[in-house]
Amino acid sequence: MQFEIIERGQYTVIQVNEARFDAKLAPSFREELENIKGNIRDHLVLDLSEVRFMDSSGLGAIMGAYKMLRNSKISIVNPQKPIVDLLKLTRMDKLILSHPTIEAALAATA
Amino acid sequence: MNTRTFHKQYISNLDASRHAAEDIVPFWQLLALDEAIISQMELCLVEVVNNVFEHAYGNHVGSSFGIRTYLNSKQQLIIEISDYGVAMPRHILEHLPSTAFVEPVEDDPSTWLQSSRGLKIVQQLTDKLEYTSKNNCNTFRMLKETT
Repeated sequence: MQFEIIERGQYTVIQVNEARFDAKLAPSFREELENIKGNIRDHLVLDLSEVRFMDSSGLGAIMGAYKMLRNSKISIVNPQKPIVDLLKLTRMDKLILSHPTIEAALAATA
Repeated sequence: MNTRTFHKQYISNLDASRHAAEDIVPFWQLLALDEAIISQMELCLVEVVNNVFEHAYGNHVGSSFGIRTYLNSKQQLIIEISDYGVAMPRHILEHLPSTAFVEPVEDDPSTWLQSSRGLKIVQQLTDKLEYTSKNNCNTFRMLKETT
């Protein structure tokens, strides 16, 4: 399964179970998000633990989520170094914060 | 001096950048390149291959493009991606160095861009870019210092 959705009341976790978040995966991510957007409450947590590689299409898909869920908080959890570097390079780290764990992401917005 | 060269033809499609990366990253590892450089150049390779599919071939599946990569005598990593599609307008590369990433700002939706970052990423992570169009063949050449 490419994505696992975990509903936890006020927050929703999308766990991306793919090594590559790229132009191939981005359309599926957008589709998944479209399917569950009505159920997302205050906070969407993107668990990127398994993602080893991300390109500009992956970034675009995450920005699409931000745009779609304007009234919800979005956080990234446990990104690997190439992902952290890419978020920093493109300055997306200023808008969508990364955290080591889901608990840390939730605590940051509590 | 390492004189090996990787050269292969690919077919344009949404999987092409994955196939190219699967082939070329192990080749770069055989050249004993630094893992951080490999990681950056994998991203550049993917961005340019996706641009070939999306822009040179207008998302057409089944067109041909080639990739050549090697270390030159100055230990610079060279990556050349050649297609036979629509050439990229010259001004795009010329303007890249003088533009910056648009920093997304919470209260300004005009900064929430979902595209247009690929070539800027490539320009930031490489040391030199060249683009030539000759005899219906467009070649995007990237150079990266490895020492």
